[in-house]
Amino acid sequence: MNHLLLTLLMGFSFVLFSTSVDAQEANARPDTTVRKPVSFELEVLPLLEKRCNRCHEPGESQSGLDLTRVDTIQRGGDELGAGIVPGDPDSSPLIQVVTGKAEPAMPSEGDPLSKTEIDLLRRWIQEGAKDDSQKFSREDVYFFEREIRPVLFARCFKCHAGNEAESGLRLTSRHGLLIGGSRGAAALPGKPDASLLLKAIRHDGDLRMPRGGDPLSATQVAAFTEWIKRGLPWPRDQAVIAREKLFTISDADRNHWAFKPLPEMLPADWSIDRTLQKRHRSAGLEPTSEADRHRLLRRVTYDLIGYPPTSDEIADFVNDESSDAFAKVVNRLLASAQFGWRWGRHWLDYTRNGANGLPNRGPAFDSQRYAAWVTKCFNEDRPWDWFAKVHLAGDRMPAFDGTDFSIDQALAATVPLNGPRTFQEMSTDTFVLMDKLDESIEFMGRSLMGISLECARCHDHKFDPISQNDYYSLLGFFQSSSFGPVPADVKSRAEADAAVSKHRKLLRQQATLSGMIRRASIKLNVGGGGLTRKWEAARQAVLAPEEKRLLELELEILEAELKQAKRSGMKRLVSDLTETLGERRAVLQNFKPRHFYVVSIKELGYFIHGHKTELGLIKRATEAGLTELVPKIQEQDQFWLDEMSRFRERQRFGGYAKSDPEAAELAKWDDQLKEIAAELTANSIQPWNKPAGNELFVRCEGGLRRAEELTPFDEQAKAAGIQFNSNNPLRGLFAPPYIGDARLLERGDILYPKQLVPRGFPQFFGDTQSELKLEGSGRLQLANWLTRPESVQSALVARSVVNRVWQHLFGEGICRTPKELGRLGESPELPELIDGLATKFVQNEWSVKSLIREIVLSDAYRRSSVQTPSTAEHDPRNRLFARQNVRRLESEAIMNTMAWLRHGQRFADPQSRDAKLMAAPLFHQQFDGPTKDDLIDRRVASVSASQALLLMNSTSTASVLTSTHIRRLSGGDKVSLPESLNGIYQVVLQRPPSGKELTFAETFVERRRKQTGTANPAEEFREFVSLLLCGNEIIYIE
Amino acid sequence: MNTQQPGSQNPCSRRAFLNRSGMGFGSLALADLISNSGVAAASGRHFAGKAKHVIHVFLNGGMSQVDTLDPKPELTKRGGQMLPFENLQTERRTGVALPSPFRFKRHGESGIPISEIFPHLSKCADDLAVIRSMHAELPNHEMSLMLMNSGDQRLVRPSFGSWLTWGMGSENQNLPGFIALCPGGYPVGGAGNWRSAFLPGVYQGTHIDTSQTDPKKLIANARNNRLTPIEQKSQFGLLQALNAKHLADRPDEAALEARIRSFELAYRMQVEATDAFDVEQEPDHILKMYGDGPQNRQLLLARRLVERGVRFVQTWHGKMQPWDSHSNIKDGHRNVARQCDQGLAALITDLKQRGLLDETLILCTGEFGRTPSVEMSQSGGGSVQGRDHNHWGFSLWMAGGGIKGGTIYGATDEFGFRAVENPVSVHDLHATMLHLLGFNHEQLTYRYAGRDFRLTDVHGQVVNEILN
Repeated sequence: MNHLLLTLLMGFSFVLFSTSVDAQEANARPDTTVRKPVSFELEVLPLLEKRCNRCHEPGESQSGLDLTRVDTIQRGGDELGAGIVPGDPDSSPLIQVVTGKAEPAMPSEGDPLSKTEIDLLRRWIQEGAKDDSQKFSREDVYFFEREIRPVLFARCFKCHAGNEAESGLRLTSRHGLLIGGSRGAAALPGKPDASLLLKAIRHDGDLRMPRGGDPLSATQVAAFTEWIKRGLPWPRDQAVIAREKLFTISDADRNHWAFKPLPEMLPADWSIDRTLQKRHRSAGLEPTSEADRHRLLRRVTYDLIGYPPTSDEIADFVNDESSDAFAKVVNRLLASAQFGWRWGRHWLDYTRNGANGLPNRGPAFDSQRYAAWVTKCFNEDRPWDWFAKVHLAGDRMPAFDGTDFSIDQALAATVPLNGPRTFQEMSTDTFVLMDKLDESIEFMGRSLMGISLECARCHDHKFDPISQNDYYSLLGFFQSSSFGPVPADVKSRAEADAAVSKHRKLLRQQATLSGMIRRASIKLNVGGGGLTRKWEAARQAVLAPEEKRLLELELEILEAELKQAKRSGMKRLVSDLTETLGERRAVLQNFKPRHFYVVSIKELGYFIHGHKTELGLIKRATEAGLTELVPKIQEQDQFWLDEMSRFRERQRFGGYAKSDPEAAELAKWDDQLKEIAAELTANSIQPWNKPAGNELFVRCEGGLRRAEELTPFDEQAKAAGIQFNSNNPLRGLFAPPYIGDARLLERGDILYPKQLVPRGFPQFFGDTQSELKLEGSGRLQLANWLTRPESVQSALVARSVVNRVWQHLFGEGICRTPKELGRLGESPELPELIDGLATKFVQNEWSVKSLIREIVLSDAYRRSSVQTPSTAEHDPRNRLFARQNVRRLESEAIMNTMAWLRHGQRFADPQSRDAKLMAAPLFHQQFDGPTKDDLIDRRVASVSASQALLLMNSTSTASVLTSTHIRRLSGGDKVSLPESLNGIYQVVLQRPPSGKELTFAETFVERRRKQTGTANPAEEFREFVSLLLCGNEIIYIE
Repeated sequence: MNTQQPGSQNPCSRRAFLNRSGMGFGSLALADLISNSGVAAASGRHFAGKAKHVIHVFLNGGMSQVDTLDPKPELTKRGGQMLPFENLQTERRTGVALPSPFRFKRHGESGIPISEIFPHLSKCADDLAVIRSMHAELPNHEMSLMLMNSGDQRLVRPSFGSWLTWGMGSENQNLPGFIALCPGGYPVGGAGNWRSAFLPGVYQGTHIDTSQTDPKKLIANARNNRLTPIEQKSQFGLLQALNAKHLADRPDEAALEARIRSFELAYRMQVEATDAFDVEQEPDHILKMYGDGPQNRQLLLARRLVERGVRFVQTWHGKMQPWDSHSNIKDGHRNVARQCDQGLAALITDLKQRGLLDETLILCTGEFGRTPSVEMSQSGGGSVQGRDHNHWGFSLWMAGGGIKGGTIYGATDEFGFRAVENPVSVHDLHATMLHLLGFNHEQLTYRYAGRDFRLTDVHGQVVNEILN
């Protein structure tokens, strides 16, 4: 497949390349009939820059040749002398090397020059190789060097340089400015006011440059004006001043709200409400008053544990007149077992948990076990900085209880590898499974830090201070580790490491023995003059009658099929079948024994059982009504299966049976292989299958090597008598695991590896890499770095958490792009609120429960959600949280509610809930349950008719309505609806009914009795509850 | 999804929200939302497109071009010999040239050659535009399905139908805007084929298993088993009264009102949707024209749905990959073609008779084509009579919706392996389809996680030569 990709990509780049050249030339000479002389500066130089200057420029000057100036071109290089002969293209070495007339053929890399390109050079030489580039005074050039060059480097080359310059505009050469980009020339010499560049830096018009940073200073703009006025002076000896994009970090990056460290101190009286109050006052906003106790209790109970409050809990709270009544409720909920499931699920949304285990997707991690562990962490309020670290290096850290190792932590450390991206044909993709590693980086950035690190895979991040180099410095940590099977009950890290090593050793032995058997088998076979073939030939006589029997069976079926087709009048089919029947009869009449191979026997298996779109004999016989044939076909099937294993045996043992003395040594190896296979509990070739027994796939040290780095190991294998096909899945696993740095990939493409990038941390965060002494993969150091106190990176981690917790409690985050706090995200209205909360969060030792308590106990959380004239006027979108939001319940809370209504109990975990709720998957699907494909930063709350149908008509709803729990509320079949109304309302809507609602219920009963002609309190009760289930109130929190 | 999130408390977005929930008034209201909320998203159609609906007939598994729409005499001539160039890499090893077992004939005034396995469809040759120079990126089903459906073979992206329903809204308030019909289960890749990804969930395709013939069973929960229709009507009236009262205290909550509407819709759907799926209501001559079998029936269903304003209907040939004829092209392809040929011709004819063909774009394609060379048996032994996957070149046809009938565009090499003349990528196909529907593919963008996303990413060129 790599070869295939390569061809494809080369094809693409060729297409891209040739079109862009054509386009450029079309621009340069719109009309070929009136030929203007070729311009060196505007036509020849850009071509040379693109195709020749990588080597032949003043700095590099390969073979002493500098192809950036006319005089140096004329002077030529060390080997061929003068590069051109003006007026005589054919005698010019430059033309000769690019047309293949002289050695060395040029360009040494990439495609040859196109005909149009060569023609251009020829014409220029023909016309006398004129130099039309402008000469500037020393003073002008000095002006450029002093005023312009530094600004270009610091502010422009992040985008406008290199092969893929933004908008095609390169500001790295004078001709780059003159030719310009997709908007035309960037500057017109001597005409500052008409120059696009100046308009852009003056912010005069829609194009404002530099993008995403402070504007240039007035002095700098004045210098550019002067520079253009002087005709764009440029140094003669450096036509192109930069050839690659230049990663730079700007003040705007440093000043971005989320990229600053947290405040060191908070005022002693800091609080959420005080922070909000300031903003409300200045906005003239009057916050809403506190919600009534029923609504408040319902809100906080759903928010904290995902279930509605019980009647007892309602009574307790409503009647509790103490000043800390609400605080007591909050503490009770935080201590509840359901709290961990509810809040653990919020985190699981950021993990793609469960995406693995599908074929080709990725290792079959135990996602339920992980979810249970997450729940435990939330219930025990383990500090978040620790929790975050575990997801990078849980296998390298002591267990939370202080012991040496925790299998659950090692499992959590595999989470970065969760995701939908395929590693189909892992065999050929020992390219370190780049896409899976990319998912890891994405997880680390989005889920833990709230930024988009993955954007820097192909190029420097366009908006945030993350370079492509940074990306690969992080990638090395992940590439140096992998996953391996470990018994769930290991007690120490040493045991876990040993389990992984043992597994790898077994794989290596397996590969070695298989290779040895194969080689010895070939030797035996060839030595005996093709023993296998001889044996196969000897079987012909035995197999021929059996094959004939099978064909006769098919004939019977064909005849029956033809009859059927005739009966149903399908003409086409009749003619097809008649034709086939004729062919088969002919075959049978002239039946000849044939030479069988393993493959041909396998194909008989397809013939019997069907394959892809073909139906097999068994099915065909059944469909044609010939059931009596089926046992006969099955008998045949068994015969061929047995024969196949005989064939395989002979093939494996060089033409002998395993028990033959000649194959004794091979047989011994084969037995050893069987022992190994029995010991191998996990399938590393198809790791989407769960390991057998009590083993789990968990994170371990040592990853896969890049395919092209396997060559030395292939040679080792060969020397040891083993030979791998390039796509043998064992090949990548035969090489020892990789611990080392990752290679930078050009444009993020696995086929274009460049230099190794030392493992380390993004430059922006200011840690010196030299201090870094890595142990193993270095993930532990990475984890420690991520949460290092007072660092910018740990500030990001803390900000992400507080913002998300706020989102779960208000329906909206303070920053509404919770997995993008970087400069691409939305700037929050209240960054000071995030910062205050994050600072407190860190001070409270990253306690999520304390954070939730702080928010929930604030006035802001407790406010009514009803829009008032003041909130409607001053803050209709509720950006300043002067009121609560009305929110639809998430799918889990809806499922909890339905299961709770049906059974009157809260469930220990989602699995036991789903077992007690009919059609649980439908609720998940209809009410926007989370997917496993993506890191989910917010749940959609869709509204659809199929949801309505589910609630109105489904058997699942009916099972709730007729459940014992609900029926008990009616107080018996004799009690009328209005009498039991209070009970229903308490249970379904968690509040007493109003007077109007009582009247409504009475009307309901009256109408129903009129309609049905009878009084049936049980039915009336049931249908009234059904109304409430379909109503809006039950499904929204206010 | 930031500011486009339904349920944000923006009072001026109520109507827009209703529209976005699939219950609105088409693109006008959508444009309204844009101007009100300042969200740079789909602003309705960019220009008047000819097509308003799409029926995508998915020949999942991969239709062989040299056996259907791209005859290659050279392949027949050199049958059994190795091709004069090294076989391009596909999923498995392939061997010598395998001539098509089928005869081709020219059809219609345009003389488009079509193989004998499509006798009915051949009669509509003058309505078809055949592209013979399609190419995809890899010879794997799943990745190519993703590419064909969502324009990316690797990452989770919204499908074409989701983009379209998001961009255009739905015309029918009683039916989903994007419906995927597949008899017997899911194709390879499952519901991922019609996912909305980062677009709101309402835009994902609704899957319907068309092996089920009872229309009442086609739509989940379409019937209430506890109440008589009259009882239900009165019950429904009370429900709306209850919800209206609840809303009255919270007049600014758009989501609450949307949900009331969703119940109205659901209530009506109980009757109307089952109606739409009830093929038996068609007169005899129409049923006869389409013929029997789940394929033909679901093509008729597609027409009924489009007629009722459904925006995007995808008909899958069947679960897994029925067109994947690895081992026997002759029987395999003849079979699957037989199952849909009559229905395809009927669909074109029927839409034309109803004056709907002009506004309905039909696309008939697999995820890739098949090799002209024979597939080698995988363990290296002999060969079988089938073809491997081939993404280097394949054929498809389109009809209606502004397509220039009787056109052949592009060409493969003389054996039908690789697209060589005017190659058309899947992105180009998407760009062309969007163009026919009134969208500039470069401007149909959705802002997600801080970036503007397009169906065609950074690719795509409209194939003008096949447009009317």
